Amino acid sequence: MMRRRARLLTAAALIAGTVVVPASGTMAAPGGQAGPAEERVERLQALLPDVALERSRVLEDGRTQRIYTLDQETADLGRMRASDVSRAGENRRDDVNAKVDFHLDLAMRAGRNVDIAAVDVIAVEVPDTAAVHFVQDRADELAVAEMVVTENGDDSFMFGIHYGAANDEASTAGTSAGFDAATGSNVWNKGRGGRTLFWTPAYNSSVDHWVTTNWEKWQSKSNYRDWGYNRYATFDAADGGSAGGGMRWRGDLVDATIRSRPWKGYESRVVGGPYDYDPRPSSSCQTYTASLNVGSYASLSIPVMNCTSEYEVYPNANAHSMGTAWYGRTTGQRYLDFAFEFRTSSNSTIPVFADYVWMEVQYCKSYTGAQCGLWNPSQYLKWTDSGW
Amino acid sequence: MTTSATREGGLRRRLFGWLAALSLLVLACGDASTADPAPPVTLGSVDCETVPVRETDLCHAIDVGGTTVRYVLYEPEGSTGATVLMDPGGPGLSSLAGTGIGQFLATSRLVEHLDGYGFLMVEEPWVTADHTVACRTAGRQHLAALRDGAEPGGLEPWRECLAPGRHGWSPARYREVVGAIAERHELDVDGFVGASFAAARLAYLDGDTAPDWALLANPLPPGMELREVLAHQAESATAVLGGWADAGDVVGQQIDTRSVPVAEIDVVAAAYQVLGQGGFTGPAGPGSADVGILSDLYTGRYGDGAMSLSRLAYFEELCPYTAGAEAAGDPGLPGPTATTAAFGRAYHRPCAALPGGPDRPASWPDSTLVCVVQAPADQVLPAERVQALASGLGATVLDAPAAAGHADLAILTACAEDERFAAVIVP
Repeated sequence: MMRRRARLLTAAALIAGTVVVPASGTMAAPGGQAGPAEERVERLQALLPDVALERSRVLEDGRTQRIYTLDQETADLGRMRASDVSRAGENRRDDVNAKVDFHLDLAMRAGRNVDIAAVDVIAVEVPDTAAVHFVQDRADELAVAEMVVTENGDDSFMFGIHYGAANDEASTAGTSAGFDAATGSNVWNKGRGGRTLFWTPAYNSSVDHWVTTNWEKWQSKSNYRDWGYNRYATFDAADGGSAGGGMRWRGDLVDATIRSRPWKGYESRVVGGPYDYDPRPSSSCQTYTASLNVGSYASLSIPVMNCTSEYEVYPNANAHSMGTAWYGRTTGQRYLDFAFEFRTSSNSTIPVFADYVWMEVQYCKSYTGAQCGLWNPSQYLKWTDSGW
Repeated sequence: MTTSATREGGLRRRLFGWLAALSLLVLACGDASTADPAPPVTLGSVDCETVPVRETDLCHAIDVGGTTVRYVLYEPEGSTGATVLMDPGGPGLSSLAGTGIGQFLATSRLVEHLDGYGFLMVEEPWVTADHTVACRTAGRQHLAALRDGAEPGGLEPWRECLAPGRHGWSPARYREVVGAIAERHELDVDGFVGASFAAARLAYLDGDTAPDWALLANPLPPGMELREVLAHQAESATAVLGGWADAGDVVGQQIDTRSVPVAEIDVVAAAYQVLGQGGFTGPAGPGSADVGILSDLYTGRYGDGAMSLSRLAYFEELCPYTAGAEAAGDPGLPGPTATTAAFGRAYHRPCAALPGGPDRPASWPDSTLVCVVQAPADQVLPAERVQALASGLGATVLDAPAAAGHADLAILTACAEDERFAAVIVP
C-alpha cells in the first residue's frame, strides 16, 4: 500500500479549494499488514511527520496507544474560521463549504442560530485511518491538541483527536424566540455549544460518517452551586457505495457512546454528583418522567427516548462524570442523550466539562445489501475535548 | 439508509442552486450586500432522519397531500387510542429536533395526571422545509435593513416567500394533518395540552379533530390582535432595558465570534428575547457576546446574516391569526416605549404581506371544554386581556402564582387538578 504522509490540511489549501482527501477506494482497512512493533512505530511516525510522538502506552485490553502532540503552530495550520473559507462551486465530499453549511443549517433547524464567525473548521488527514473534518462552534483559545492512534491488534487503527479549549465563560442565552415554552424550571442556561464531526468511511461512499454533539450547562436559580449538564448527540454511519462486481458496501453503526467529565485541570470546581441523572437504567417509555432535579427547587427537563435495552449508562460519583452508550445495529441514525445534576465548589464557580464521542462502524461487501458474508475490521472513531 | 444519500443530494442541489441563485440575485437586486452567499437548501425527501429528532424511536413521518409531516407518538401498553395532542407553542419552535416531547411532558409535570393516554406532538413544517432563494433574499434584506436603520425593503420578496401553510401551519393544513395522523393510528384525540401560541392550534381544530378538553398555559386566544401584543411587549422590553444598567456600553463592540458588531437594535432585540425565557441573570445586563446571541435568537439571524426558517413560520402563522397586517402599518405611539415599540413594529413588517382572511379563527371549538391558567406577570402577553378574552370564549380561567412567567409550564397542573377538569381528563 502506498504510504501517504499525515498532515494537517493548511488554511491555504482550504481557501484554494484544493483539499485532497484520498479517494475512498484507497481507504480500505489495512488488514493483513501486521509487522514487528518497531516497524509499526516507524510507520506511524512516517505517517505523522508534522507531529511528535509524545508517549505510548499499553491499554488494559492489551492494545497499544500512541499519543502525538500537535504544537500550536501546527494545529493552527489545520484550523481556520469558517467565514474565511472561500466558497467553491463544486460539490465534493471534502468540500468544506458544504460542511459548514450543513452544520449551520442543522443547528438552525434545531433552534440554534449560529453565527458563521463562531464556527471553526479543522481538517486532518491520517492515511490508513480516516480523514477528519470538524466543524464546530468556535473555542476562543486553543489549549492543547493531541492525536491518538490506537492499534487494535488486528492492524486496524482507532483514530482520535484531542482538540479544543475550556469554555470557561458563562453565557445566559436562551433557546428560541417566540411564544414557546421554556426548557427548565427555576434554572438558567449558562452556556451551550455544539459541533459536527465528519469522518471518512473506510469503504467507498459518497458521504462521510458524521456526528453532531451538543452540550448545555444549567444553573439553579435557588442555589448557585446546583447545576445540570446536558449532552445530546446524533450518530450517522455513511451509506455504502459501489464495491465493484455488482456488490455494494454496507456500513452499520454498532456502538455509539457519549461521555462527559470535568475538564482536566478544572476538576476541583466540581465537588459532587451526579446526584440525579437521566436516563436511568430502568428508564422506559412507560413512565416517561424525564424531569431532572437541580437542587431542591429547580428542575431541568430532558427528553427520555431510551425505550430499549440497548442502552447503558455510566454515572460515576468519584469522577463526577456521566456517560451513556448504545449497542445495537443500524444503518440509520442513533440519538443519545444524558443529563445529570452536580454541585460546584462555590456560588461563583463556573464548571467546565470535557466531552467524549465514540462510534464503531462495521462494514462489509454485500450483494443483497442485507447479508454480509465477512465483516471487515471495524472502524473505531473517537473525539475528545483536549480537557479529557 | 436513505438519509445520507438524501443529504448528499441535498448538498449537491444546494451548490448548483447557489450558483444559479447568485446570478439571479445579482440581476434582480444589483446589490451585492443583499446577495446570499450560501446556497438555497433543498432537502429532497423528508423522513425522521432528515433533521435528527430527539425521540428517534417515537418518530413517524406521514405524507399528507404530497408534503411530509413529522410527529412523535407515544402509545402506552394496551393503548385504547385515547391520545393527548401536545403543543409547546411557537410559531417557530423546533419541537422534535430541538426540545422533544419528553421535555414538554417533564416541564409541564402532567404525566401523572395523564396516565393511560398516548401523547402526540406534531412538528412545524419549517424544520424540514426548503430554504428558497426568495426567502433567503427576503430574510437577509429584512435583517440588514433593521440593522442599518434603513427604510424597510418592499414587500414583494415577502409575498413571494411567505404563504400560510408553507413554513408554519395554516388552520386548514393543521386540521388536515392532525386528522390524517389520527386516522393512520386509529387515535382519538381526546385532549389537548399546550402553552402560549398552542391556543391558536386549538382554534384551528374543529369537527372530528376537536378535542373534548384542553389545558392551556398563558395562551394567545383568538381575537387578540398583534398591536395589543406588541404594545405589551414594548412595555415589558422597556422595563427590562431599564434594569440593564450597562446595556448601552456594548453598542459598537465587535466580538470575535460574531460577524457584525453589536448595534443598538441588538440590545433591544435581546430584551425582547428574554421576555419569554424568564429574564436575565446579573445586575448589569448581558455582555456583548450574550447580547449578540440573544438578539440573533430573537431576530433569527444566523450564518452570515441569513434569517432562520423559524421566523418565516413565525410571521406566516402569527400575522394572520392576530390581524398583524394592520399592526405592521400602525404609526405607533410616542413616549417612553418609542424605541422598543418602533423595533417591534419594524421587525413585524413582513406581516403586511400576510393579510388575515376568512380563515382567521374566532373561537376555540364549541365542543371543547377549555381551561386557561394565566401568569399575572406574563411579559409576553397582556394577562388581563388574555383572561378577558378566554372568559368571553367560555373557558375556565385560573390564576397562576404571582411569580410565574410566560415560560412556566408547571402552572398547567392547576388546570389538571381543578375538579371540573380532573373528572373529565380520566381516560
